Amino acid sequence: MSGLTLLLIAAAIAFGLSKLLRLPPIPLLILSGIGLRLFAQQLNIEVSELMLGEMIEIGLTVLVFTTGADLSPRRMLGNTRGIIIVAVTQFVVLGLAGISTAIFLNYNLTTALYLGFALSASSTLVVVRHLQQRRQMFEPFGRLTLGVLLVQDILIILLMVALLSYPGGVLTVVSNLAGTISLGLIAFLIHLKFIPWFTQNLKLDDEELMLSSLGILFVFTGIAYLLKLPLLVGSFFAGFVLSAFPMNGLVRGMLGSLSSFFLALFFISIGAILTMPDRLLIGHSLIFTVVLIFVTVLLVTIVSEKVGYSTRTSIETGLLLSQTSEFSLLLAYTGIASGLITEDLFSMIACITVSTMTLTPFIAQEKVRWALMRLHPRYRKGERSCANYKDHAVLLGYGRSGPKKLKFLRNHGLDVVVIDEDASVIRRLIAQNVPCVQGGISNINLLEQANCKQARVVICSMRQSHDAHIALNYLRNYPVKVVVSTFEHSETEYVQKAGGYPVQTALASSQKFIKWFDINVVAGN
Amino acid sequence: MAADDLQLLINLGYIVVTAAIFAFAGKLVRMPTIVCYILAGIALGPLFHLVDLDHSLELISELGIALLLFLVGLELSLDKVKNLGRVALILGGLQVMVTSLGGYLVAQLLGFSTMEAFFLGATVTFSSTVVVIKLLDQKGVMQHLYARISVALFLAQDIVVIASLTLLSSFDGTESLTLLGMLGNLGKAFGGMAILLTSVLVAARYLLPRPFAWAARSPDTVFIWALCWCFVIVLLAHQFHLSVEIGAFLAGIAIAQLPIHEDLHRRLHPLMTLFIAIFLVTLGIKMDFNNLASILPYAVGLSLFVLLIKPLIVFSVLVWMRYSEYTAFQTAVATAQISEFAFILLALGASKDLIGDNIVALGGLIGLITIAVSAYLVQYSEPIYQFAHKSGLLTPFRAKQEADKENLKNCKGHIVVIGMNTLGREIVRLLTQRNERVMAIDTDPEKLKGLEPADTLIGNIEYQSVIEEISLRDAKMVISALQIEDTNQLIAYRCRSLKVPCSIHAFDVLVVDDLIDLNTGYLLMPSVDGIMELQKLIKKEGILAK
Repeated sequence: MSGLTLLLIAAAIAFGLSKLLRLPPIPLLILSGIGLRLFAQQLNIEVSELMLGEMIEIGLTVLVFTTGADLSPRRMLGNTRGIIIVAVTQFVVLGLAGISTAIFLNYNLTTALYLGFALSASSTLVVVRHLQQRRQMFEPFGRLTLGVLLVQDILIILLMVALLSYPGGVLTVVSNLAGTISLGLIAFLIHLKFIPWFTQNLKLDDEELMLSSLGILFVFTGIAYLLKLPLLVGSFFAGFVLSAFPMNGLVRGMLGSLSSFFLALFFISIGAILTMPDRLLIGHSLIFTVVLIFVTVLLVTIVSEKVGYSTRTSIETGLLLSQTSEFSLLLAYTGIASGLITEDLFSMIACITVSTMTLTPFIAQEKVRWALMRLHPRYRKGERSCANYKDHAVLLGYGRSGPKKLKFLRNHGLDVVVIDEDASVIRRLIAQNVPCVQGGISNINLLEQANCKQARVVICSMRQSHDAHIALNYLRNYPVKVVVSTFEHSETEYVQKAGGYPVQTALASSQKFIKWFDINVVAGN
Repeated sequence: MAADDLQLLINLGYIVVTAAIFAFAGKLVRMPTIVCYILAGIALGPLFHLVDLDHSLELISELGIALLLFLVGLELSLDKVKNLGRVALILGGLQVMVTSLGGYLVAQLLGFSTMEAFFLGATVTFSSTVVVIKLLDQKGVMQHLYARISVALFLAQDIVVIASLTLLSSFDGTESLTLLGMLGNLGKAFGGMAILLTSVLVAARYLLPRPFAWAARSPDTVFIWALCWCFVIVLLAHQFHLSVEIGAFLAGIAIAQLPIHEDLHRRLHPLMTLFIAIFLVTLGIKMDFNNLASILPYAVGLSLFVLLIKPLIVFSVLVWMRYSEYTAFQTAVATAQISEFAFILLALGASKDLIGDNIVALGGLIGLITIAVSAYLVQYSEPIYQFAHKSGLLTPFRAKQEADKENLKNCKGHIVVIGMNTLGREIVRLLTQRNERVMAIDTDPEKLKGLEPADTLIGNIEYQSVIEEISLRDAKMVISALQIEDTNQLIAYRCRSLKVPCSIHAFDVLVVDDLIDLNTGYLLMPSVDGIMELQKLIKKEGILAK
């Protein structure tokens, strides 16, 4: 019990620091594990190797299982093709970039393959938590990112099987891959046919749901063991089986608790068994980190835009995917267990994972995105001069509601000029012959360029209230009416004080609901 | 990886899969899951020898016990603890004295030696905290008075068990029993208990509230901190020769004084359920049936004592303490089994050569019989009570017939609003203005501030326990302002299953079809409503008219 308590104390410190420093918990858990080992060495406290091994073993199984349960293919509906193109391109190109870098740094082929593939996928755990914290899971870039992660997880599982079978020859690789695909197909069939029936017809309580879910986990893991596949293959497919709606929702709460517990213990234990890489390996880790971030951001942005996503979505996706996956650690761990890679290499992969995961919240910041948006090539060719427009309407920010606003204003005979920072939005507007200006709203020159001072109305629907403030201040002494979509009461008050007209979306929606409620629920009762 | 490296995972696989098979089979014949788990353990251990207990499985079992008691502590405010202290002292004291004496006499009558009778008397005295709390929790009655009295009784018994174990541990078979050593150990245990209790209460008042309030918006941090706190206190308890149960229970009481205790309870519950299931299976694995034929008659005799006489003693004491007939009966029924501590006590006695292995095996069999039967008794305690009451069996005790005061939440015809973003808060405001009874839910305690007169609950709607706590099936309507697609779909699904009308935030056009398929009554669409409001405003301000 004392060993487990020590692990929990280390985890508690890591989570506290994660909250304090606003960093993702995984790298801090690994660092805390390293700290625990050093602390135990200093004080001659024994942390059982057996216990650490078992925590890694169970943690690994549960984490992969819960990751699988969270990745429903339904998330990909609507743009499956685009998601697959982005995921496969990133996976292949990043893998090749990693392998080339490793060969350039004089690593042998097996090691280069492990390094390359460790770099190729992004972290589902880090990204999902980041999106959840920022409430962006269901933004367009959130959907794209989650779809890409699902495809990548499947690819890395297949790769893990191939890499582990590689010493046995091509036939072993082919047979193990065939086994994996067969298991995947069985999982898919159960996911599609059995689970919905099971949920519909058997009214299970929490305990029965938990037992059946974990039963499925161990049955699939057992099959994987019998087929001589990595156990993780079984865990992932078992999770995939449960990702069918509504089963995924019914078990999410329960599995969430298990996942939080084992996530902490797993990463602390990983940290506690790590050996410190030497200077050379730290230098190499830095090189791989730079390659990873540079290639991911550039590649994902270009490919996502090519398959039809907006510039903003593409850049945000690229930034968010620029870290290695927890599967990279698993890949390296199974590599060590099979004797294919050394402990030094494992430590280096862990070092890359820690640094890239730690960098994620900094890289995925709004201001980095804005900076990259400004670096994006502009489509000046089609931009029009708006100096001659008078009594027109200006849309500050196009967004999802832009087309409806544009149509409404044009139907009432108003000329409309759009200002938006997104290059792909501007490209589409130019194609539709809509007068537009590309750039951030905070740039007063753009407001001048759109001749806002002589407009009849300026409609501001940017999420950032700061941009509305700039427009309100700029137009304070002019007769133009500034209409601002607001979300919070404080924003509404500010807009009113600044002489603008707030449109309170939440209030409008709740009042409309109340009308429905009075008619259908109150009157119905 | 070699099978040896994966031994724990393989053992867990056997345990979970077998427990699941037995639980599903048991569901068909309405067998309590506790019995199913023990039977699964017997299949895995004594019957097919598939799983051998090792240190790791023992550790997981201990984790389960610690979590179970931690959760019990989590439900107890200081007021409740004060109220239970008196019951624990009087009921615990009387029950332990009378039952152990009775058990000793029955064992003597059955022909056992004085020392064997002494151990068997102790065996039948104590009830299983783990088994009973698990049964009461499954029954969903942990908030009831009789459940709290049972917990108080079992914790009082635990203290006596610890004193017994301490006494027994002090006795070294090769040397004489030193009174001083014995008293020293006892003093350490009781002194430790006092120190721990004081430290925990001081921590609850001064140490824990601020850090936990700071971390409240990060559920994972609170979750890990609470677990860490629990096991640190368990370790401290261990230093004072106190049990895991007592340490975890005290740790739970400290957290129970914090506003996030209810949400923590829900988050820890699944973890406890899994580990306790493993613990119960390992109980079955430990069973020894080598001398079954020779010990069976004695086991039946002593089990009858545990199943009939022990509850009778508890019932009589509670009636004497002026608890109602119903509360006394339900508490009494809950005590009709022996504790897992009895196995430890008997094993310790055998290791000191005070009793033979046949007595240890006998204890195991009594445990199996009484735990299995009491699982049914607790599950069906309501109809059993009705029968006993109507048939006049309880009349001679002249128990109080008026119900005891219970502080149970009762919700009906209320409106549940989930997600306290601007939209959710606005809806709560408008509904409370209409005098509707509103229950607002969010995982972030900060967002629930200032919503009076609405009731509030910190929690995640994805947990089944939250669904039960808010009485979703009795709600007039459910509204979700969340911008989480999966959770919204689950809410719509649950509302459709319970036939409760719902309104869900359709924040994106991509989510609309699924929500309509799930029979959502009304889709909240602020983006669309915002555009319509904008159009109205533009017309109203005469912007189009120029």
